Amino acid sequence: MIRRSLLAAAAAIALASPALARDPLVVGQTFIAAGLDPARGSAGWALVSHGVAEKLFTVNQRGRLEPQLAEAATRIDERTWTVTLKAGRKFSDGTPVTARAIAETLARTVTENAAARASAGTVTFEATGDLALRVQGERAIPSVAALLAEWAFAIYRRDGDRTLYTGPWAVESYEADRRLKLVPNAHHPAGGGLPPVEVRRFPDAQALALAAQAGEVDLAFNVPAETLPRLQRGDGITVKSFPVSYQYMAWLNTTRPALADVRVRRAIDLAIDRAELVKTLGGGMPATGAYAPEFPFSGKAARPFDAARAAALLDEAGWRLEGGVRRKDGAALRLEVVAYPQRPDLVTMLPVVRARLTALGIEVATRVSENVSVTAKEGSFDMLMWAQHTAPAGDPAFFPNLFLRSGAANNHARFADPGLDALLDGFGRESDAERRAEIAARAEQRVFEMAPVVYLLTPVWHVAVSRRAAAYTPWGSDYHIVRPDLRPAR
Amino acid sequence: MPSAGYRRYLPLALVCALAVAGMWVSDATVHGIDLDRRLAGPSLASPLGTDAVGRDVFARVVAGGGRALAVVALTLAASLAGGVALATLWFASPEALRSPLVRLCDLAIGVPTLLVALVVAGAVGLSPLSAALALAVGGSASVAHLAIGLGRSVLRSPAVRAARAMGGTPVHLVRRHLGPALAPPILLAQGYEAGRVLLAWSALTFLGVGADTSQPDWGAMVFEYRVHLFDAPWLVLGPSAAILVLAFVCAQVTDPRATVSMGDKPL
Amino acid sequence: MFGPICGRRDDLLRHAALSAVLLTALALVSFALPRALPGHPAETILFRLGVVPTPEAVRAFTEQAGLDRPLIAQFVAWIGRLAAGDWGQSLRGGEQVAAGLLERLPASLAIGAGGLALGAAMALALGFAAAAGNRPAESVSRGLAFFAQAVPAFVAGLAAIHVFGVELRWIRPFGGGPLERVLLPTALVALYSAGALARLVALETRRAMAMPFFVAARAKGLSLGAAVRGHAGPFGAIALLAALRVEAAWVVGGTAVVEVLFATPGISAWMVDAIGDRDWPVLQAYLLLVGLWLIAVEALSSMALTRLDPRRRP
Repeated sequence: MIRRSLLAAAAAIALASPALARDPLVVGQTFIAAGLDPARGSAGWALVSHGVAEKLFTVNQRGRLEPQLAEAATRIDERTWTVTLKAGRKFSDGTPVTARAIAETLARTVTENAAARASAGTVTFEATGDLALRVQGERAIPSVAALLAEWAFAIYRRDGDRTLYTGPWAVESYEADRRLKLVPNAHHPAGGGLPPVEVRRFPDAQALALAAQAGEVDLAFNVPAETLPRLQRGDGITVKSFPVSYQYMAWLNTTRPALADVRVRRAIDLAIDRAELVKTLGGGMPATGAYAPEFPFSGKAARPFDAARAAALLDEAGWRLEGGVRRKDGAALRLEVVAYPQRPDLVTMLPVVRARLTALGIEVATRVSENVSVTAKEGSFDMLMWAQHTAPAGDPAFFPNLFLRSGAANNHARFADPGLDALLDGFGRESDAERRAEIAARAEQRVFEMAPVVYLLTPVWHVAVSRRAAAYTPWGSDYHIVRPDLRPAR
Repeated sequence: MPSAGYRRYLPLALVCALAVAGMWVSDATVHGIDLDRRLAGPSLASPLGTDAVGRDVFARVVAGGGRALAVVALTLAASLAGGVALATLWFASPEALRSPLVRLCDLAIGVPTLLVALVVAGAVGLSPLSAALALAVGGSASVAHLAIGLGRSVLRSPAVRAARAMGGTPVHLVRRHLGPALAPPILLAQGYEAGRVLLAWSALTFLGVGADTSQPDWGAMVFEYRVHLFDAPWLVLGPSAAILVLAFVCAQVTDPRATVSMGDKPL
Repeated sequence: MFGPICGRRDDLLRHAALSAVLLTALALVSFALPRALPGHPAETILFRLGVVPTPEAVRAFTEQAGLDRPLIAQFVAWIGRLAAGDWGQSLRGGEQVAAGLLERLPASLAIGAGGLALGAAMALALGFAAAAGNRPAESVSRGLAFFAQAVPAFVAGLAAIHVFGVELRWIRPFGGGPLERVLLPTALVALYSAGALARLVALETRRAMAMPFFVAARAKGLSLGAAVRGHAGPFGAIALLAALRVEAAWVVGGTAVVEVLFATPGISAWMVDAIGDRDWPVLQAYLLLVGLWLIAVEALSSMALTRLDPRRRP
């Protein structure tokens, strides 16, 4: 086996020729699809990001939901919708996309992929015409577009062991954990004139930046800010920085005695200098609230920084400064701040957050948790640094409903506030975008007052592109990386 | 050798003293940030420059000494304790159990250290103690291996046989014969382990087990500063040199001509 | 499995029984260790997928993966499937574990075994030369041993990529052919092994040079170099082989850092991912594989050493 691969290697080197015109465009990133079957695990998400799979509905560049393979949807009753499909769309082998084909594979997805049952239970699909699909949930489906824009609902067709998709590129070959070779899908509306693409995985982001410097990748997605000066000096390399919708924030565990006091929480919120964090990370924007500025419902003013007011609040709460340390009844105010290594920026911010809290007289212990889902679930933290895409489907209700409502599955702050819950109930009654934005604004105000969470900043990410990919414009997340504007510049 | 004996402890004593002194470096100096003095080069005020948030790297290296010594000392102590216990078990075992025990030790020596450490760190979090326990798995097996091999030949020697015939107690055997014969080579092997332990620790941070880079910690510092390797190489140099010095000093204690370390690499 | 098998029947039985016990213990440890990690695969993987881990979603995932059954039933089912050649499926992407291991093994073996072989060759050359009094060889092996104790492999690896891939552009460490891609990682493994091994070879060779037979060989008129190679050298080589036994163990499972750094999809890089995902089926298969490899290396090397080294024969 080894011998054969060595021989092949020798042959490959011997045959190595100057770059061909149709050399694939190489995209380097830190993750790659774990498989080609969207019914398994995260494959759907990655395949959409790789430009291979599409869904019935999707989120566009500005974070709004829009139909993709679907044309429109109408609601029949609380649990039932009818979705009509766009005519003329085809899978990469030329077979037309029909309601029947979709109903068949989505039924399979729902049976095999637990993630597909997370929002509305077991959803059933029935073809009621060539291009008409009846969708019925086990539970209510408030928005079929939001449901079917979830990653688990990628559209595919099974042909024996092969899986075929509808995206601008089709899979040519796949090596687990290493690379995915893509060819343009001639049956896609944008498929003509696209270059072949090779998606390569680099588990270490610094190695990815070095690969870009060495000219081994045409598009290096999300390289560390520290590597930018060298990349910019590289021949023909352009660095594009773009804000992403992953907000950085910190949960305050409201069940801890000191943090049960809203004044202490607000003091912490006021003590954080967002501008300083932006400087530390070499980019980003001070947070205005839960949402990135690109969303129409995002806050307008940056969160205030006022150390004096923070100190006054702590005094008021009975935490008095004694010998440089805040104490109440002899006990020191001590907080454990936790971050996780999968988001290196959070770890980078730790010392800066620590310095601000220490300056206030709070004793700070820091910890880096390898499995943050356990930390969040157990509540074994005082302050938990967190990165979250707060509006993955362009809807303001997603984040507060799942993270801040009393008893919500992701309520890491263990925050329970009937006032906020009542405001959030408004989302259930209101479907007009502007009115929903108003509800969101009022809910945000309430969250600022109660401070179960400290919004830190909207980060920027960086891509390095070669001359061939100079026309590329990154979108504000890692949801859609390989896109038709990868067409080589002429 | 005994006459010059104390001299070889001098470097280690010095390093220990420095590490102890490091405990008195104030929190404000170790954790103090200064965003207007980021990535400053080496100067008189900060001999190893400042890092990306303006912390003084020299202060952090000095303050990290205690932690590094703790990791090394805990690992070596755990290896010794485990190894001696295993060897004792071997000597106390009936003939039939002895060979499997040795084979088990052979297997344990081979277990990739990083694998054990990753699992242990995943289970109880990465701390000097948990790392020490993980790194001591292979360590105690190799101590046991050495002790069994040497102990066997000591027990067969005429002096020990004579002592036994004269009714020497086990305590006497250990104190007069086994101990003096076994301790030097075992300690010698341990002296080489310090560098390996610290590098394995650093490798764990690279693999994302989650070392806290806001603590002054040599392994975590090398990991954190690696992104500046080509622009501010002195950042990596400081903690790396510290690791090298500690490794060298530990090896010197047990073997004045030492430079070699055996065992697996933190790859 | 336990060393060389002697001809006697009861010995044979004893070895067989011990092997059975050992394999069972190995299977139990491989099964239990991943489950000792805090965090459940359902929660961890759903979190990584960005799916809200509602109790229903977690339950559905757990049932789907068959992780809701009693531990004993899970263990028995795993062993049963193993016996039938089915190593299970990854929880993250549904990848077949056996096929996944086979696909990733060549890269790990190439880096580990190739690096070790290169390191051993360097060690022999440097060690003999140093024993014969060559000062530069002595310094180089000393320097390598030092380097391996102070510089983490990821720093050395980054520097190597920077120098050879970015500045000099001699090779393409990520995009080149298979040989080109394993070149740097293999060299790195070799560099990290060579120093210590070379010093070991030199030490043992020098020890043999103090023995009467060596003096006799020199008295017969052999040159220093020839005498070292012909008479003292075998001692160094045997010591090297004994040391390689330990090193060979981490050929499979010890190269995680270089695999991650050089984006080489080997089994150790897979293990690192699987720990992060709490992907139990992958982890238990990996642990089992490493265990079997260790046992095999142990058995083979004691056979080889017994054959080569007359002192070890009963």
